[in-house]
Amino acid sequence: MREDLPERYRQSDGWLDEKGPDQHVVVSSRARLARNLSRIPFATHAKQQELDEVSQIVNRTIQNLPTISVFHLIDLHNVSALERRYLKESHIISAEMEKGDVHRVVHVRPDYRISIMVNEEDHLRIQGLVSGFRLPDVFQDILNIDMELMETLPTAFSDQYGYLTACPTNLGTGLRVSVMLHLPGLTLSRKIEDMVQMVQPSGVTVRGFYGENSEYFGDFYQISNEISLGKTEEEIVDLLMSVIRIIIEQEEKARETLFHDRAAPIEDTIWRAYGLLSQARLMDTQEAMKLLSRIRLGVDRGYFKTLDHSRLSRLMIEIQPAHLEYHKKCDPDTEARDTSRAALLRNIFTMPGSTN
Amino acid sequence: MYIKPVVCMKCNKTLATVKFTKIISGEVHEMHLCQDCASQISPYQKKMSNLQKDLNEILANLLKQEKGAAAGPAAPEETKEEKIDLVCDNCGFPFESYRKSFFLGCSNCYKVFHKYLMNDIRKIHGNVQHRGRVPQRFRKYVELKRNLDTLKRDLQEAVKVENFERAAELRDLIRSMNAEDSRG
Repeated sequence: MREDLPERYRQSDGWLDEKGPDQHVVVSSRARLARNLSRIPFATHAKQQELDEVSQIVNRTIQNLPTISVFHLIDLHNVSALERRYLKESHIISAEMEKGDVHRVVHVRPDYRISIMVNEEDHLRIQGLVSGFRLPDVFQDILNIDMELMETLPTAFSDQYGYLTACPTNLGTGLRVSVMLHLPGLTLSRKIEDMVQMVQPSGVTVRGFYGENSEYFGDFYQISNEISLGKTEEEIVDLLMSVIRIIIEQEEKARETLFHDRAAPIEDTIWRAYGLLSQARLMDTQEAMKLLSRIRLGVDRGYFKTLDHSRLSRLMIEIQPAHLEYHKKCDPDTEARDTSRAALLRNIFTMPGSTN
Repeated sequence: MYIKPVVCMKCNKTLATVKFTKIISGEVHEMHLCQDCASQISPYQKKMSNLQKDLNEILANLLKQEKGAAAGPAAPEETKEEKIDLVCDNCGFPFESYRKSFFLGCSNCYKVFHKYLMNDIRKIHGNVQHRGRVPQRFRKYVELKRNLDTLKRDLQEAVKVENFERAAELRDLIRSMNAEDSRG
C-alpha cells in the first residue's frame, strides 16, 4: 500500500537548486555537530524512558527558541517506511534513523537545509547541507543553531575531551565536515587510488555516495575530516578546504588530459550515456547514477545546454526509489520503479534542445 | 654537557648542588656544597632553598594531577588482555561492553573509564586535549584552566633555565588562581 507524503516534502530537495561555487567538482558541502545531554545515557545505551526524556527536553527547549521553533518535527517512529527512506535519500536523516525506532525524532528547517536528529547515536546531531563548495557557510549555519540550543541544555562536556560523544571518534569539537565530490576525470584516468593515498595522511577519510561503508558509484566520493579532537573548528574546516582545493585542481587537470589525449573514447562514453538515458525503457538506480555521472562531465564541456550541475544534482536524488514512489506514484516493486525511472529520464533527455 | 657529581665539601654526605665562590685576600676559593649547607652560610641560598622546595612540591603535584586526572584506580601500563570489571556508577555501563562496541554508556563513563580510554583516544585523534569551542556554562572555567596550563608550562620552563625570580612569580600566580578555581 502506498502512502502519500505530506505536502511539505515537495520542498525537501530544494537546497540542490541553489547554485554554489565549484559545482563542476563539488556537488554539496555538509557539516554536523554531535551533542549530548550530561549524565543521561547516550541513545545507544538508553532505555526507552530515557530516550523519551531526551526528546521531550529537546522539544521544550526548541519551542522557546524563535529561530528553531519554526522547524518541522517528524517523529520517525510514527511515519511510514517510505517517508523515512525518502528522508534518507534526501540526506536529511542517517541510515540509523531510517530504522524508525521509538523516540527517534528529526527537526527540519522548512527549507530542509538544516536538520536536528534526536536520539541518533548521540542525543543531538545538528547537520547542515548546501550545494557547491561552501563549507564555512554551512558550518556557520549549524554553529548558530548549536549556540542557541546549548545555551539552555545541560551539555555533556569535559575540559579535556571537549564535547562528550557516544563513540570516542567524535570527541572534542563533535564536528564532521564533508563534501560530495564528482571525480570522473580522476576515476577514468585511474588516478583515484593515488589521490586517496595522497590525501589520507593529512587526516581525511574518503567514502562512497551514502557515507559510511557505502561503495563508490557514479564517480561520486565523500571526503570528510578524520579527527575531531585537538583541533579548533576553524582548523578542521580549513584542513578540508585546502585538501579539497588540491583535489579540484587535480580533477580539472585529469579532465583536460582526458579530453586532450583520449578525446574520442571519452566523447563516446558521454554520448552513449545520452543514448541510453533518452531511449531505455528500464533503468535501475546504479546504472542511472553511472550514466548521469557521464552527462555531468558533458555539461562541464558545454553539452546538454538545458541542464546544469544543479539540475543534475537534483536528478540524482529524484531517481532514488522512495522519491520515485512518492513523486511518480509508482508501485513499490523493482520493475515498476525501473520503468518509472527510465520514463522520467527519457522525458528530460528528449526535451527539445537538450543536445545543443 | 656532563657535570661530574661532587659530594658536599662541608657535610661530606649529600650531593653538592651549589657552587660557592669566595674571594679571600685576592684568591678565589671554590666550594661545592649541598643545598642545606649552603643555606646555612648564605641568606640568599636559604631563600633559594625554600623556593626550590616549593617548586618541587608544585611540580610533583602537577605530575600527580596529570597522571591521575580523574577518579578510578591506577591502571597498569598494558591493559589490553586483562579483563576489567569496571562499571559506570551513573548508567551501569560495563567497560567490557565498550571493548566490543566502541560505544560508551553516558558522559560520566569518560570519567570512570578515563585511565583505560586515554590510549584509544590518543590513537584515534593523535592527542587528548580539546582545543575547540566551549559551551557558555564552561567558558569561565575552561579559560581559567587553559591560562593555568600555560602558566604551569612557563613555570617548568623557568625552573629548567633556573630563572627562579620568574618561577616564584609564576608560583604565586598559580596559587592565587588555584584558590580562585576551588572557590568558583
